Amino acid sequence: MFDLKEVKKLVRLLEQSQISEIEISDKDRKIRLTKSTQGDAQSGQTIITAPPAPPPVDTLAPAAPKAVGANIKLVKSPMVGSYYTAPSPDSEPYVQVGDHVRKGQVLCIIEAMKLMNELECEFDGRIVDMHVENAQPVEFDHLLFTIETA
Amino acid sequence: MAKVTFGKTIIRLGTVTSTQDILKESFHQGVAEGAIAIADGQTLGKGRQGRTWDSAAGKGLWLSTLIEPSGPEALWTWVPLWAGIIVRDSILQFIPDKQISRVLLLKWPNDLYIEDRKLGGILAEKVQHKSGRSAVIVGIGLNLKQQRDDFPPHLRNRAASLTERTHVEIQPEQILENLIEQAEQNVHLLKPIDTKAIEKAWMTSAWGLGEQFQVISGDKVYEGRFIGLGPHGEMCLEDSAGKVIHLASSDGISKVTSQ
Repeated sequence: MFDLKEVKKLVRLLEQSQISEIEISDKDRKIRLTKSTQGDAQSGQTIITAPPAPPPVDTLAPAAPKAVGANIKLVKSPMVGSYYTAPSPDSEPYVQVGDHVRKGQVLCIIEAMKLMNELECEFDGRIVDMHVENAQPVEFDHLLFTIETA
Repeated sequence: MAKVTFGKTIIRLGTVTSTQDILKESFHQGVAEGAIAIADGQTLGKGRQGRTWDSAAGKGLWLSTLIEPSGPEALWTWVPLWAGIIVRDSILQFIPDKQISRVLLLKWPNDLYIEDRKLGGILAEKVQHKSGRSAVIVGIGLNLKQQRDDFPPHLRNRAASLTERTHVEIQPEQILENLIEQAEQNVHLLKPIDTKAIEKAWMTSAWGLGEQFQVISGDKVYEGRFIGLGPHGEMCLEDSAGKVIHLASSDGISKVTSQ
């Protein structure tokens, strides 16, 4: 949606101009303002349309990181799937908050369509936060770990 | 695109823990795409989340092969579905009875079913070499010669073998030959991933399409009508409110039969 300030600015622009209609659209929003030709009090008609909503999909919005600094790295999911903290329900988790991890160390498994993806850490550091619970669905680019590097 | 030769390297094994683990080790030693590790039997054949796949010595086709898809890795999730199609097409010629071949179906994402019994399973693992080379190791388990009593009791009503259904004894080597041919003919669909072509081929054998399903995924149970595949190969269920649910993994899929 457009915010009210943006709309008001456009209405003013239309009122002060010689043109009778403005239409602006981008990827997911569209606005068309038409100046009334009846000379009534209402100087313009505002129509805001949005593209049809996509079919509802069960998704989880990525959680916001607690802090992002120069030495904070965010590890995100490379694909849609289910997130697993351990190779099997009876196994110990690969990592826990507070653990020091090395480059190449497995952090978790993302499973999608029976493709198992052992996600390896790309740097040395310490796990500051784990953002997803075991066996939960994740989207592409979903935030999984916050890691503090040395 | 360079031709990929499957089976140029074949690692033949007796009874091992898992062909997946052996091929993974070979990958880290630099084995080429198309390499195959095939075993007489496996003691720890891999299933999801630490489960094992019953792989009795001499009773089936137990193998793993190395594939290097190209394009965005986020779409490599289609590789297991591609593998399901390849296995299906490798065994079709051994099922001359059309009554049986038309019930040879793919249960999402890639289990091979004859009617409502499992004939084969596929598990894929993404692997990364320290050089940065990424690949997928596809593990295939196909029941060939088992009779009903050969399966563990808990699988007897859920598993099937080709011999049991066709009454013809088929050797693992015969299937292997077809599998190599099918993989070579169709590997271009992975370079890069041709989602539309894989989806189209998969949908021709979709088990339970249009039927009502209950799916356990994580700690939730979803129910809806199976309407097709999502952009990453997900199972799409339409619930009673018309909402479409995309599922990327499952801990149990069952058809809901009306009373």
